[in-house]
Amino acid sequence: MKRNLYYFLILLLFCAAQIFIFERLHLGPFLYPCIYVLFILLFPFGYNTSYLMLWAFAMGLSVDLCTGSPGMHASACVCLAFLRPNVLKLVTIKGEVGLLVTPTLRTIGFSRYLVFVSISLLIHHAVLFGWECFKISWIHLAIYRILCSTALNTILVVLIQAAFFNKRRSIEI
Amino acid sequence: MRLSRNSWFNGIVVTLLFVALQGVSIFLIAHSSVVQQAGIVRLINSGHHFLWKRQQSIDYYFQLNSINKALVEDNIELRTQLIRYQTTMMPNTSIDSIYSCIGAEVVFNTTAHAQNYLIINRGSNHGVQPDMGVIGDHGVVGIVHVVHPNYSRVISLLNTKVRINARVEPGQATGSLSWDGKSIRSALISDMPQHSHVAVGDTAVTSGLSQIFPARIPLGVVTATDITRGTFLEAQITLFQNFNTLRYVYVVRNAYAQEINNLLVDL
Repeated sequence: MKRNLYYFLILLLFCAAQIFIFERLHLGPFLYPCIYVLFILLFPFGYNTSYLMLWAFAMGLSVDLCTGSPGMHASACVCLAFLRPNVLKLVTIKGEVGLLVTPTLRTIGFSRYLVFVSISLLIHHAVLFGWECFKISWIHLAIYRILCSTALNTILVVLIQAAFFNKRRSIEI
Repeated sequence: MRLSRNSWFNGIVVTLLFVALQGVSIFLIAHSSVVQQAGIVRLINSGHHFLWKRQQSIDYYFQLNSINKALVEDNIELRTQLIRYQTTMMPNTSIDSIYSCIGAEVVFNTTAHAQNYLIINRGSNHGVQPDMGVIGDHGVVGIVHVVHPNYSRVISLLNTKVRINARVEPGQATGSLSWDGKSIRSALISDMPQHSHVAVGDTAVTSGLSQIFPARIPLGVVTATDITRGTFLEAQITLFQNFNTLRYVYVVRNAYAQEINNLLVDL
């Protein structure tokens, strides 16, 4: 219960940060700052995928409602939550998972965390911009947009993770 | 044995939940207008607007310099027009008087998407109706889409779904202007006849062939031309309007839009 309240507060925080700060940074059509994805990446290793998908859906839907875009963020978040266990398998060694609690810079190291974040963002952005450019003639623009935004957001997400969620205490969420 | 059965069952649950949540998302995407018009969005938008306005008033001070410059340029142009009218003593009953303007302030604006939109603080209470044109200090801004009593949602010109009838002067070639999604300062005019005379540096304006915009509202400057599909001329233009610093816009009302639409329907 206390845990869920904590997740809910973090969700509101990410939603507010996304809408009032990052949505307002006009960096042109190729760079879309989108940091709330970190919310899905913060969950512990063995977290139930069904619950994770529900949390991801709630996160995506709240961003959708606040930005007026219909269901695109929700769809992208659910896809990422669905695939997150597989992405985590890529960056961890078998047997190591039992010892660690959450995937953070401190627990899995900089290079592996970078790979984890960039693959996760790539999945999220591919779905998000795929829905946005729902016409095959725009596919090359969508690919540029996915790659540029993934590069930008990887940097932003790693910095935010290092700044706010890398303390030993927050591992216990 | 029990463990493997459990994980198999868990896999089914996860997959079903995934399909269900995706289904809800896709339903929302497919019925986007339902979401946009839903009350909850309006509610959030008004709360959003409250905070946005606080932030915007701070931003406004940093933009004062450029806004003043734009106003001075506007004044100069209006003054020259005034002088022209006074010297020619032209009676003010030109065809443009069928259009009137409603001033509005931009309360929300996106430029980072493929389908951008903005929200203005004028709605049906002030006479705004769907499909009215919206122009800014330096040219076309967009077309009104959804109207609420006090606010309206405007489809930005920076939206890959918008097409506007444009004319390139002085060659008088007409084509349709659309955003290419690459930069917030550029757009494309396509479907112009191959023989039309379009040169780099020519000015693109609205054609006045639709009842949404009056004729000769500025759009941009031609920066490159190209022949596509062997038959049509395409021109790349740089837009006059900077969509990042939009603050005041004008909704254009055509007094006879209903009448013209009725004629079109009768056909």
